[in-house]
Amino acid sequence: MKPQPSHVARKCPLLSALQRGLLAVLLAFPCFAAAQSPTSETYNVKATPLDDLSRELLIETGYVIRDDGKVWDKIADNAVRLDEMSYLLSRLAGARRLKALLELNLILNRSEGEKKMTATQRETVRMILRKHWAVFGVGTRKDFRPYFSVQELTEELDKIPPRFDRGSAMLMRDPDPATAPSAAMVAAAPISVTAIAPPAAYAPVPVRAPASEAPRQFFPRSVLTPFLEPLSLRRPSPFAPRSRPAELAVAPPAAPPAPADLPRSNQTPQIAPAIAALLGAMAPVDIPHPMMSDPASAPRAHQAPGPTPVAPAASVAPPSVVPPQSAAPSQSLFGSTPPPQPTGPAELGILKPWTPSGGTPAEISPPPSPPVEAKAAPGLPVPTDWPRANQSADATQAEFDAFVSNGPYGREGQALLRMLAEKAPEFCRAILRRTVVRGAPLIVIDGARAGSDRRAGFAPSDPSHPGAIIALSAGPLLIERRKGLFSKTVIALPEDPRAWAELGLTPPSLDALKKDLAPAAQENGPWGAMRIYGDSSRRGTYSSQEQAGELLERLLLLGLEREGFASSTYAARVWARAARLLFSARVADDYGNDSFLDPDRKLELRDWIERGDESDDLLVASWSSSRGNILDPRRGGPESQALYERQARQECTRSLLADHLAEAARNLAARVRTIEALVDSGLISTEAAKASAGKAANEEASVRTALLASPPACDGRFGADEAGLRRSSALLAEVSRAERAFRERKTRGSNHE
Amino acid sequence: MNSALLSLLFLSSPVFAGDWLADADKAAREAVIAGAARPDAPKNKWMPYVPSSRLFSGEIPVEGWWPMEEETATGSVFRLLGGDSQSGSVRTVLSVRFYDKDTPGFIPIKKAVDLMRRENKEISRTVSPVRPVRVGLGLARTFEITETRRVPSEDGPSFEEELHHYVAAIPVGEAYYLVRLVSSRATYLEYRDDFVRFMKSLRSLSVR
Repeated sequence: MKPQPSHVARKCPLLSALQRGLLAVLLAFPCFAAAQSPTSETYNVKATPLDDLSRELLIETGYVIRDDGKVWDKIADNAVRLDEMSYLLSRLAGARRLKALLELNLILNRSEGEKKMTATQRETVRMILRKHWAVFGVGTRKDFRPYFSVQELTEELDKIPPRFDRGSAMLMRDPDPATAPSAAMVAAAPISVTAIAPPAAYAPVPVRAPASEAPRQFFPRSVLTPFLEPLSLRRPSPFAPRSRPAELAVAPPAAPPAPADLPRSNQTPQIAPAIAALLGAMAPVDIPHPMMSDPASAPRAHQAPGPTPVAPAASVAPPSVVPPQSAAPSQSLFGSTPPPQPTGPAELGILKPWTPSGGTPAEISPPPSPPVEAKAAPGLPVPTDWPRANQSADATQAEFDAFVSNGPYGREGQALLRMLAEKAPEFCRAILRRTVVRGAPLIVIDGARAGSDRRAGFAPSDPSHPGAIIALSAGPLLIERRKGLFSKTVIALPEDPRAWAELGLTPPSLDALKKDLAPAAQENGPWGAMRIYGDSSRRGTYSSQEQAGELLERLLLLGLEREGFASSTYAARVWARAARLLFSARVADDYGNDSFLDPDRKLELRDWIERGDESDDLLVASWSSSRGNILDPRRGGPESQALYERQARQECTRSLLADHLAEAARNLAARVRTIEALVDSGLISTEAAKASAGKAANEEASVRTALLASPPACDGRFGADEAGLRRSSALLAEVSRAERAFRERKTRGSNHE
Repeated sequence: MNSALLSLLFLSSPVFAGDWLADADKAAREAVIAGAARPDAPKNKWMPYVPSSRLFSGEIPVEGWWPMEEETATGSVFRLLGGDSQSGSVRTVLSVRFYDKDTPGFIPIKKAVDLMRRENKEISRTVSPVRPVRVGLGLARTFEITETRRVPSEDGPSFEEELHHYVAAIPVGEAYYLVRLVSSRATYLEYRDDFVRFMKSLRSLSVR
């Protein structure tokens, strides 16, 4: 049986107002309580006189106003504190309001309805309202205005201002039009953290002009030790090390002291020569460190003015400089010797020679910046509180389309980029366009240049092209191994020889790695069209939709690094990953299924949508491991990282020592544990494993001994990039908002974005 | 067998005496640095802890675990990051979340537990029966999940690894706390006592 509204409620619509009032009174109490902070100063009516209503409220509830001005609480037997008084008066007024509303409720319930009230009842209501009008809030007053004439209201009641409503939800009024953000201001608010700020006149911190941008170093680094030299090539992610303040860097005596707020790339990370030599010795292969590369091998045409670093030791050469527009991995990133260039079928990528009109690739001049429309009135603050990064000029969709059509991309590359332009989440589109148009990264389909990444990575730079090269894998390299009597396990392997060199191993001799060998069989399965070879190695196929998602993530990481948003590796990766997942979810919605993803990515997407909390925990578990190397457990997210580094500054030398030791230990743990698993799966011989692991252990031991004997000198690098970490926090907040909106739409059953 | 031999070979390295990060931290703490006082060793193994989100109050281990807080799309998350797994691909993570009707995409506790307990043959996801356990926050519904994942998901070589989840859903009216311990299945028993002690120490701060 359908429940019927009560008789009283039907005949008395004002009851809802009463109920709201009662609820507001009850809700107001904890708010008042929370707003106070205890002090010992007592309230004195001589110093702070009370009005009549406040006196009345206090006296009728048993408080005593003493001759010395103190307000005495007889029950607690002490004086009311200064900071308590406002809360106390609000509470007393609330109690009086509650009592009045209860009285009104009683009368209204006894009546035949508001319109059929007797004259006595109406007069009683008017009397109660008039008596307690001062303690009623705006909403209650509005509800009871019909009981009074216009004259009574204007001449008497409206002159009593509402009081004691602080903390009540009913007091939440619309913002004052004079101070509320205007439509223009709202329109001027960047759609994304990474969006270009409005014109510099309105920006709290002027956006740096592209011409003054310093070249950015571009090479992998370990998240455990953001300030250390990147020892490992296992993380070919585009994260430059956060440099120390420029004034702390070793500079030639003639060089003027650099200001502390120099662009990051102008600052030269340096390291004690002895430790640098030791850490350099830990590199499993003879790969010069980016900081130790031959400067002649790096392009110098666009070297920005700034303090010229001096090599602290013969083995440490000045950093190579990359053109500002390119943000390319330096030649030394993946070794001075370029990896074997692919030949044959693997070269059917989408890289094609391209020379922009009017110059060589190294002299690419960005298209003229479109005029930035002033969406906000001059003088209005930009409603963002994160420090602006050194962003390049924005690129419009038209520019993007033109660049994709006429730029260095083949048919497949153009198709992938157009798919991204159409389906990428809104919050990342601006930086995506800028990264493509201004950074001009090349895209190749060649898993043998993707580093240790299984699907997409950054290839070594090409001398003929100064920009970054993103290598997409055409398909996974898999090997099947028997596990127990009845089950099998599939191992995914990297193709790039650099990944194996980093482990101190030669790539296993697998048929699937031999480009000219024909497969023994072919089949379609969860890994796409699969070629199966005689030694049970396999090569699958990634769909173009999956490749587009991977390309999106890499482009965003590249863009974040270019524009100074990658101070927290974790935040940057979370942001870029969320963009990829939202992109995949949209494609899956459009297609009606997620079969375009490989089994691992499919599982990731489903987990993220259905069990986001579990998915996040697994992600953190993986990224904070020695092999994951994206999240430093000691530092956590960007906010706690800033706090950690502030504290680390107090014990700088010891903290720096801890970072060095941790990186050495992580490197060894990751390497040895990977080797163990490879031995277990029969992919490498025990002898090779022992040799490589023994070498790694010896290197770690020597580094550890040297570090403990001579701890690295404190140089004040901790806490030098708080602005960058604030930008990273803004990234996390933005991605939370985007994900929240997606989940709410999913809950409502509608499509996202 | 081979990996066991390798492990024996390198057990002498201090890196493998425990978690490599905890050991590196300890080594740095005990290092003699001229002009710098050596920090005192922690006196207690557990310490009281209240996250800045005031999600709860409780006790956390002083060594070998690192607290981390994060604001996500579904509210505040408190995490304790523990030791690395034997494979080096998974670090133990203990997380605490609170869900109420204001949480975006809120799912009532029963449905949420059912969703978490859904099995999946593709990843050999199996779930134990629900077991009630009395903890500081109330009566927890606890269960365990085991599954196989290929980790790391981005890099290669990537191997299948069995993972283990301890899950506790603790109702507080219509809202509920969700406490989860994710670890490698090979090592989950090492963290069980810490998980139970932490869960039993949890108290609500009644501010939400």
